[in-house]
Formats: sequence, structure tokens, C-alpha cells
Amino acid sequence: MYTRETTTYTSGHDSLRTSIVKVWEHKNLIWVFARRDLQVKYAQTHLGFAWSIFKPLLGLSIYVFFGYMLNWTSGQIPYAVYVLTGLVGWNLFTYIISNGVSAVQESTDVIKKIYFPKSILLFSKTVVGLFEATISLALLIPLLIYFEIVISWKIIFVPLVLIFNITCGLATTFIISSISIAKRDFLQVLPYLISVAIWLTPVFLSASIFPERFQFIFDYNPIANVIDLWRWVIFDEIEFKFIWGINFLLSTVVLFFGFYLYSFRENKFADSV
Amino acid sequence: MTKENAISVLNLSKNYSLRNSKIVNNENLSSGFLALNDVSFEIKRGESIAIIGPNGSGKSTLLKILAGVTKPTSGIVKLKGKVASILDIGAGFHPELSGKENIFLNGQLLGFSKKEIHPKVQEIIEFSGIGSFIDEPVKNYSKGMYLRLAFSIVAHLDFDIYLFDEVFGVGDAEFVLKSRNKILSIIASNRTVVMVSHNMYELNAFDMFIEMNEGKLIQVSKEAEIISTYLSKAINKNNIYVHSSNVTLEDFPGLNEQRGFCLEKLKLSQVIDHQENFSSDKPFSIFIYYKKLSFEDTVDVILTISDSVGTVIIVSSPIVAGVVDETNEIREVQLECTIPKYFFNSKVYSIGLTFVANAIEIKNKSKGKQLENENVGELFKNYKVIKSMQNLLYFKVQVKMPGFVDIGELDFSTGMLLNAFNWEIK
Repeated sequence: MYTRETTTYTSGHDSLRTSIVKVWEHKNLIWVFARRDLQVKYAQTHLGFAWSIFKPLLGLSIYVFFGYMLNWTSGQIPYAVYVLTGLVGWNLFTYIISNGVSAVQESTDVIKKIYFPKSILLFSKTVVGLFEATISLALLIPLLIYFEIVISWKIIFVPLVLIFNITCGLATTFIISSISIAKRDFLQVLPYLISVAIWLTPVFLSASIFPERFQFIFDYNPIANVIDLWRWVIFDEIEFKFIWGINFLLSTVVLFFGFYLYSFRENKFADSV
Repeated sequence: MTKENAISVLNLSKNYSLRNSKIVNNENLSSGFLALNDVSFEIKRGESIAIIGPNGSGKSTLLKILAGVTKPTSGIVKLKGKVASILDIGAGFHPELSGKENIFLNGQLLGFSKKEIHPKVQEIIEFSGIGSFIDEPVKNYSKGMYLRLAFSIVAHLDFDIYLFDEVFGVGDAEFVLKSRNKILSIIASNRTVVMVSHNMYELNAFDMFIEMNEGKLIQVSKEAEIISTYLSKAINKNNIYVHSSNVTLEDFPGLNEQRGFCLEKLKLSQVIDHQENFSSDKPFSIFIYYKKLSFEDTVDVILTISDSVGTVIIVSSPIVAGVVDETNEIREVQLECTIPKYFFNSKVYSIGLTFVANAIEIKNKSKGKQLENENVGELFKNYKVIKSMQNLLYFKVQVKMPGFVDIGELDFSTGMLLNAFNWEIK
């Protein structure tokens, strides 16, 4: 028989555990929102879905063009492959942030109609980001064939790298969103911060072109670790650094802290959007 | 077996912090606006309640908290079952998606699977009356279409609890009526309905009434009386009296005798023993006494009954009923219109009269028989309005309902309800 579930609304704040349970109860909405986003993404374009393939290609060719012009080096790895592996990680990271922070504003209409944990919106943006990352990864295959590169056995660690990648993106988004609920000043400088951050991350530049004494930045920057890891899973030549593992654990802690902070603050959304 | 609670609200308060702290009207709180103040009530499963009260009394805030859209400042709300809500804003549509795609999106957001929505889609589209536009992106929809679709979705999926903020002002007359009937059938199907209403209609269908003011519960009552009392209070504020028992008006300021007629008396009465209140289980008589002053014109009367906000509910005229005044001479005319019992709700109504002239041809044709709708249209075209007087008399009725009553088929094709009440002429 159909059982009626009881919903309770109180003034109190949820514990981390309750917040996670609530997300789990509403998990099907993650797919609903993600499907909606994919449906409308290229709604008013001629090429439609094809843009999902063209966009990473376009980004890739711009970097490759300037890379060869300026003679940027990337060790033994062909530069095009180096850039694409960098872009997969970087694009997923920035997609989650830039779409995540505006997700609530974008769905005001729904937020004013039904209750669900607002973090659901961020998770669904992550799913869309993953979808794009998959397409970028598929573009890597013809490149690898062209340069006759044999993929390392370490490719089995891709899921872990993805988790690390998403952890960095979500942790950042939760914290930025939490501090931007009441006043949105921070969101104004966010695009500039992202464009600065790409220079501190080996997306299209190799760490080796930086002076030795600044190289530690790349070790302590978790998203730089993620991008190194993307190359690590594909190429045998790259060595694993212990600090990557530590940063992974730290990012996970920050993620849970960010999620808790966000769940704590999210009730302000319906009153302030 | 006693029924379980569908909704229970305990000591609910909601304080909105204001950006401009000068607008503080509550001293207990350092800043902010107390939209809800210690509200408690319970609704059993299958019961329906209507919440009434002036703007800013906390009705919508209460509904928002019930929908989970905003959090209470203190207190507890418990709801049992699937909740559907149509609040003042936000249908939850995505502007880029088509109407059909939005049906699925909306249904899924409300907790239904695609499989469950699929068999209802056709019904939803038909009810909304959106037709071929259903495959267009909803950003191209009019406000009315948007709302019609939103309502249709909610009304056709199975929920346990429905929350309606009165939004049905949008949409054409036909849809307003359709949605009202739909809500009534939802109420009848033993679901829990909470309805916030400004424009009170059909409220007799509800089991319970809650009156709110300034964030507080003024009273909870099972009697529909609460509504007409509330409405009369609002109308009395404008120095207008709402009659609740037999009344005769004889003074009509602003009427001169040069227009071919002279209104002398308007009487609203019921056969009642003592100085009793109007009651819905007896028929009403409206007496209209007027003097015809010229030979050339025939004078006809159109009776309109409107609700307290001026919406015309019913239009009738002796000629519609086939009662024709043949004599073209100076004389006093006494008209009596009988309105059947169980016609009025617990609302405040007003009577309006329009005097018209010159419709002899059709009049003669229609003599002795009730007019068909086309003929009425033609009749109205030939009419020349001499004088239109609205809101001559306000009255309210104590509802005594034996359950469902068939008041006959109503005709909506002219945009208002036309009814051939029983008319007599003397």
C-alpha cells in the first residue's frame, strides 16, 4: 500500500548527517535538473548538440596555435595532448564553479515552488560538467592514435582523478556560494580570480618554465595536482607525488565543511532571491 | 477510527528581516517584520480549509512555509503525504523548454516519475486549452497560458495535499470557472486542500475556515458565516451597509423623471417569520417598482447580481424569461423576480439594475417563451441604456446547504451568467 511520508519543517538547522540524508532523498532531482540543463543548453543554436564537441576543439586549437608559436614546451608529451589533458580537468573544475554559484539564481522559479536541498542544483551542474568532460576525453582518443601514444595501465585510476577533480570544484563552489548568499560582491571578482588561477595551474604551461623557487605552488595547489594526475593516468613517464594524496584528503575535508556551511546557509535563499 | 492529521502547525512564527530597518513595527524583535505570530492549527486528512484575511495578514507566508519554500523562525509544521502547491509566483517552468517538456519537468520536480506522468499528459494539455502551442517554448506563452498550464499539471497529478494561493484572477472567464470546478472536485475526492482566497467563491465546499489578520489567527470556524461576516466588515468600512434581512429601498438619489421612467422601490425579501436573517434554504423575491412615463418607449429592466468585488455573477431580465410588458402607456409597473433557494453562497452580494428602452420587435417575437441565447444577444444589441445603477443594495445570506444542489444549467457564452429566473409582471 502507498504510505504517506511525513515531512517536517522546523526553525532548527540540520546536522551534517541530516543534510546528507536529505540530498539522498531528493537525489532523483539531480538527474531531472541535469537533463533540463542539457536540453536547454544549445536550445537557440543551429548546431545544437554539436557545440558540445566544437567548443573543446576550439579551445584546444587556440592554445595549441599559441603554444607552438611561442614554442612552449611540454616535455616528452606532444603539446596538443598536454593541453587537452589539462583542459579536461580545468574545464570541469571551472564549469562546476561558474555554473554552481549562479545555479540558485537561475532556478529561482523552482525554488519558490517546491522544497529541495539547494545543493542538489550544484550536484546537477556537476553531472552536466561530467558530461562535457567525457566528450573532451573522447577527443583525446584520435590524438593519442595520431601521436602513437600507448596509454598507461594507470588509466584505471581515472574514477579517482575525477572524484578529486569534482571535490575541488564543489568544495570551492560551496564556500563561495555560502559567503555570497546575502551579499553578492564576491561574485563580481570571481571571473577574474578564475583567469588568474589558470596561470597558477599547469593547464597549457608546463611547471618547468617557472623559476625553481616558485614551483612549490604547483604542489600545494590541489587543482594543479588534479591536472598533473590527469597526465599521470595516461603517461607512464610521470611520477606520483605523495603530496597529491594528502591534498586529496584535505580537499575532501574542505568539501564536507563547505557542504555543511552551504546547507546551514541555504535557508536564506528563498527569502533573498 | 479517527482520521490522522494531514497538516499540523504548532506555534508557527515567521520574522522577515528588513533591509531598511526603519520599517520596524514590532517592538519585541530587534528588527524585522513579524509576518506570522504564533499560529497553530490542525487539519485532518480529507479536510479542506480556506484562509481569509486582508493583504499582509500572513496568509501567503503561511502557505509558503507549508510548501517548504521558506523556513519558519520558530514552530513546527508537519505534513503527511505528497504536497502540491500553486503559490503566487513561480510555476517552476523553464522558459526555453516547450509546454510539453515542461509538463514532464514539472511533474518530475513534484515527485512523479515519467511513467506516472505519461498517461496524464493528454488530459493536462486538453484541460489547459493551450492546444497547438504546447510544442512552443513557454517563454512565448502569455501570462494566462502559463498559469493555465501550471494549474492543469498540479490538478491532474495525484497529491495528498494541495496548497492554492488564489491566483485564478488570471485566465479567461471560462478557465476560471473550469479551475474552480476542478478544485471543487479535488475537495470532493477527499484530498486535503488549503486555499488562500481574496475573491471568495464556492467556499461552502470547504470544511473549515481560518481568518487571519496581522499574522495572527483571528478565528477558526466550521461555519461559512465567517466569510460573509468578514466581507461585511470590509465593506462596512466604506460606510456601506450590508443587509441580512428583509429590506426596502425607496430613496434613489440622482434619479430624475425625465428619462421615461422613475424607479420607486426596490425590495429584497424572503418569507420569514420574525426578524430573521436571510437564509439560503428559502427562495428570494426581488420586487422592482417603477413608473413608466412616456408613450413611445417600452422600458425593460436588467437585473445584475454581483459579488463584493464587482464581478457580475448573474444577469436576468423579464424578457429573457419571456415575460413581456405589452402596454405602451404611462403606468406603474411592479416586477417580481424569484430566485430559487440554494442559489446564494456565503458571500456578500450586490444588486444592480439597468433600465433600457426600445426592443419591441424581438420583444414581440419572444413573448411567452424563454429566449434562446442568439436572440438575447440580438436583443441586447437593440437596447438603449437609459440608466444603469450598480450596487444599489448589498446583502449577505446565511448558508444552509443540504449538500449538492443542482441549480440548473448555466450559460456562460455571453461572458456572464444569464439566467431566466421566474419573473412576474403586474
